[in-house]
Amino acid sequence: MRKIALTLIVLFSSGYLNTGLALELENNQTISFELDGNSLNSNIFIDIPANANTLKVEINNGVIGSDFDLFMKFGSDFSGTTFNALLSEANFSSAGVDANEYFTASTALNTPLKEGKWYITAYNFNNQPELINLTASFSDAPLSAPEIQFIFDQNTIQGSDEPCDISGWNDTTPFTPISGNNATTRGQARKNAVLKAAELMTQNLQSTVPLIIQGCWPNDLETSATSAVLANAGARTFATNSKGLTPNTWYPIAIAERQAGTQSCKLGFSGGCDAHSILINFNPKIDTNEGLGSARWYYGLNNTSPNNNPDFISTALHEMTHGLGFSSAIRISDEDSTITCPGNQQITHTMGTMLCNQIDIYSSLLVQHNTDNTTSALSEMATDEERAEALVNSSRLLWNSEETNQSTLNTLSDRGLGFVQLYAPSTINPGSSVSHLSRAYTELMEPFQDANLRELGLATPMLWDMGWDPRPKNQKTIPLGIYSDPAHNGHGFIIEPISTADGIKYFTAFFTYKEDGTPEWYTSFSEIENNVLNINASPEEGALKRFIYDFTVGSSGNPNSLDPNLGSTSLSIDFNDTSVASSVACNDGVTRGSNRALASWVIGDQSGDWCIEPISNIIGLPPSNDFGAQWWAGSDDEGWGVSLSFTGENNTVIVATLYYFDASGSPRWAIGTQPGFEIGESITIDLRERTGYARDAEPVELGSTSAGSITITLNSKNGDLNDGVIDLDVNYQGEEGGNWSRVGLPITLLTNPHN
Amino acid sequence: MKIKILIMLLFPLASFASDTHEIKLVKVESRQLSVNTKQNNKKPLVQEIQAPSRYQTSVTRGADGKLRTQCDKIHNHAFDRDVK
Repeated sequence: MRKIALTLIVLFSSGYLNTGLALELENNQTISFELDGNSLNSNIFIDIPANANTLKVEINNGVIGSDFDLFMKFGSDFSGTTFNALLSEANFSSAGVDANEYFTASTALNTPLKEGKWYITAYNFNNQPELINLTASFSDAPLSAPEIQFIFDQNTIQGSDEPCDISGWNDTTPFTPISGNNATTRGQARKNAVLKAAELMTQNLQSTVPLIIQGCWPNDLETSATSAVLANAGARTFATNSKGLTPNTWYPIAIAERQAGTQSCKLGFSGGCDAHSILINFNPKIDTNEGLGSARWYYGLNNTSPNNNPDFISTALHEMTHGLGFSSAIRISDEDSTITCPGNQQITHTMGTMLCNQIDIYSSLLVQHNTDNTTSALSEMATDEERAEALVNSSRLLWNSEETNQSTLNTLSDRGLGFVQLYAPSTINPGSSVSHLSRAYTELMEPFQDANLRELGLATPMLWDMGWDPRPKNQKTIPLGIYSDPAHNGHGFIIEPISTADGIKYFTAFFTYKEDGTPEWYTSFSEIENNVLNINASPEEGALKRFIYDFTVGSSGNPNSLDPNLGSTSLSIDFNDTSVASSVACNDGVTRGSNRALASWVIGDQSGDWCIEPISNIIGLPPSNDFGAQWWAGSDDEGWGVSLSFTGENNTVIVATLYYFDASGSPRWAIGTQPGFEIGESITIDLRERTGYARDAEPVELGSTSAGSITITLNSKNGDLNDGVIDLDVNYQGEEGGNWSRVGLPITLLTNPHN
Repeated sequence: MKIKILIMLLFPLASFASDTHEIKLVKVESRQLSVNTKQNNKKPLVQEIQAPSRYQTSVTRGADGKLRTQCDKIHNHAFDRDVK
């Protein structure tokens, strides 16, 4: 709790203190205001309801040469006074070179839109006062595939001065309609076909940012009567460290735009706002005898090529999918190459070198299956030589995504570890290795096409893994307070939220028993993402902690320290219905109520998967004015606290769990319940210390011994020490013995009030 | 747009209808920047690099007359040009 207390102190003692009235934006309303030169507005927010799927924010002022930037963050107003500070605080930003800035947050992003207050600031970079219009619009409309903006009419490649031959799009050669392609000219047939390919590619993806693709028909692609280049494509650029991305990881620009909710020109990247994300070239000579003799591109929309002609749509689909992200940037060549990397660094790339020594998102999901049945991530390999070996490791180069590996599309799931297998022949194939699926599949993204496939197949969940997942990541409304598993009676968890500058975090207490059955407790402090508590918690950040209390420390010192002898610990609590429904723990035949969750914990060499449910399933729903929360005595007497849960419309019944320390400094807890609570009136609760069983042991009937009592008066839940008063006089059982007592001690909320 | 701004200046703190929806002129709290860092630090975090490779599908007619395709990674010449 010490660490939490320190966090709170930092939160309350730093940052910008806004004393004025806040301005709440109404949905879809434009406000106009004047900002002084080199200043920014403060205290403007919009309150997003739980059912909103998107929030678009835009500013403009119509003055040529004017420059504003736009930032938005969740939960609290900005405190920074420099561009860098604002950018660092923001969850979303748009910082182009003019005053037209915009982004759209959605529930399907790595930083998802969620219920609550989102603070918006516009930054006037001009030296003089300027008027600015600001509009924020949220919607509960379903998320959809990105709008395709295909560039057919630019004779230079957008963002450069390279030529783009567009004559292929304007070819007026008569065309006989075929298979749903009703064009009457070859140029229009090509347009219809490439748009169909783009539609097929994105139909299971989602973005609020248009996907800009440019297409050209260069006349110099290799061509003969027996072989020819059909097409080539790729991402325009790789980006790193913009909003919503895993830090220090290269992403194809289309994913960077999607996750930031705005175009690359608003993120500080090159190319301008009209620049493409994907460039694709097609060979026009295929439609002449010069290329492959009598063969011709097949432009049918509904069916694949019925004869021995190259299928235009499947070719375009395969190549453009590489441009979306199906592409490793690790060097795969026996020839060394020196590359000028950002910061003007000259870095020699050999076989296995990551692009500028930084992993890309595709390669970050690659692992090597070792002979001892373990896996090693390519991103964590110490040397290029190790990665080089993995790239030619035949069927042992694998895709590390549990969901994709378990997909029914993974027809090789019965092999090896069940992972998706990549193409990694033992003899390097520099052009095809790694960035394609194993030839053992029949898939669009195989290196060799034996069939004209028009479905992304496994590429869809793989693209989702990289950042194209269309599924909303809304936080479920999770009941707060005590959770327990009836199959492990007497143990349980407390889950309570705390607002921080980084958003909502969750204080968790695991109340359980030692090997000898005496009570003990652990805590964690982390986030919920995708409805999973501690989903990405490293042992340092989210692992369970056990505190020891030193009674010899004086009032000016800190009596709490971490138990150094725990070993590795972790806790994740998965609230997703699909996880619960498919878990062994929740299919054990034990009757439970709603809002079940799967709690997976590790403490040293002990571990468990428990199916837990909220206390409201047992004692009833909390009142509308709920005083339930984790309460404490403030930072001057920290390290212990009391969790309160209530039921009944007038807080009729109180359940109190006290967390404290025995005479040896070990964490203990005791629990009690009492009817008749009234706000502003004292109530005494007799506490019982349970005698339980080890958390990895078979359940036994619990023992119970009186442990004294607490008397509480709760007046308010304002977050200050006027909220309540506690008297407690608690005795411990066992040889440690001793007493924990306080008299007339002010208490307040450690965690957020429930309502 | 300039007309709209003029109207706002003439009728401060008023609401009026635009072509699409109502615009409300408001006063907001503001504060000065400690420094104007636009020129020096507008790209403090992001980096980019031209994609070093592209992917290219080639087709070859086999002895049986059938076409066989293979996708190869090729060098992206824009990468050489745009590397700074």
